[in-house]
Amino acid sequence: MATENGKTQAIEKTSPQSVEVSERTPAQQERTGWVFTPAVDIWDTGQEWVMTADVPGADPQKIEVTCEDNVLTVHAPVAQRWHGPATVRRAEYNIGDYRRTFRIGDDIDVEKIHAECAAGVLTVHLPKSSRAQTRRIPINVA
Amino acid sequence: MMTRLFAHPIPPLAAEVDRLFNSIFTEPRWQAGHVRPGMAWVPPMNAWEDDQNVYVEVEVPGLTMENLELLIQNDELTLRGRRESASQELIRQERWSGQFERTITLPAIVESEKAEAHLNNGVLAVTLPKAASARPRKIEIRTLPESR
Repeated sequence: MATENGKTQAIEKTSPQSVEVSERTPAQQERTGWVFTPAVDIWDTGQEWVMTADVPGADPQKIEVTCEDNVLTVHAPVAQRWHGPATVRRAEYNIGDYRRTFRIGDDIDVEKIHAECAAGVLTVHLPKSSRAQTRRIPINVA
Repeated sequence: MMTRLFAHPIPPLAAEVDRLFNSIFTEPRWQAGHVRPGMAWVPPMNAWEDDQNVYVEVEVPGLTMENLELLIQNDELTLRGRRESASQELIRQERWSGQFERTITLPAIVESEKAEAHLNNGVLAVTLPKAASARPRKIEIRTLPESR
């Protein structure tokens, strides 16, 4: 797996129709500091799409997940960790915020989107509207 | 006369050779952190030091203390861990999973029994107090009575 700026590069299999992922971009330096595209995994459980994103160092209380016009935005601010005067011996990653946008389909029930964050991993649940859910049709035995 | 002729072109070359040689052999050994072959990925590390401590910080999102192992032996620090894949049927996979192990050589001998490690929001922070012999020591300079 190739790495760039210490962050893992994408391995894409097939893009889901209901969650379109913006490509990962190299770290950007903005006025407020570095901004990174977090690495994500996405899978389909039948009832919902689940997305996990690596946001190490982000305070779960400050993470914002917003949805507007079918665009889901994840923004995870990361506070600078400054340790006073010291000699840097190894610098493999920079500290900065995480931000990424996703285009979601009409088959997602926007009202029911929910998320949780633990150990630096943000999990976003995107429940499918009842029409889009995989339904098992009971077969009546005659 | 001959020495004069050669004295001019040779010193810059010799200096260049010296520079190359030094860059290869005098680079701090611990900067060449090594990874066990066959490992798919390694979590990124930052490290720094001051007079008292060596600090190592590693981004390990999704890992808990149960699936992380930190070892310190002499001036070497080894971190081992494992992260399970979120699902067997990923439609998109960018996050690493599996086992990793990496070892770095610390810039100083540390007191491993006083080392402290904290895991917070997927960031492992390790503070390693330097051994007394590795800390800079201020030598008292006594002023001798002026002899007149």
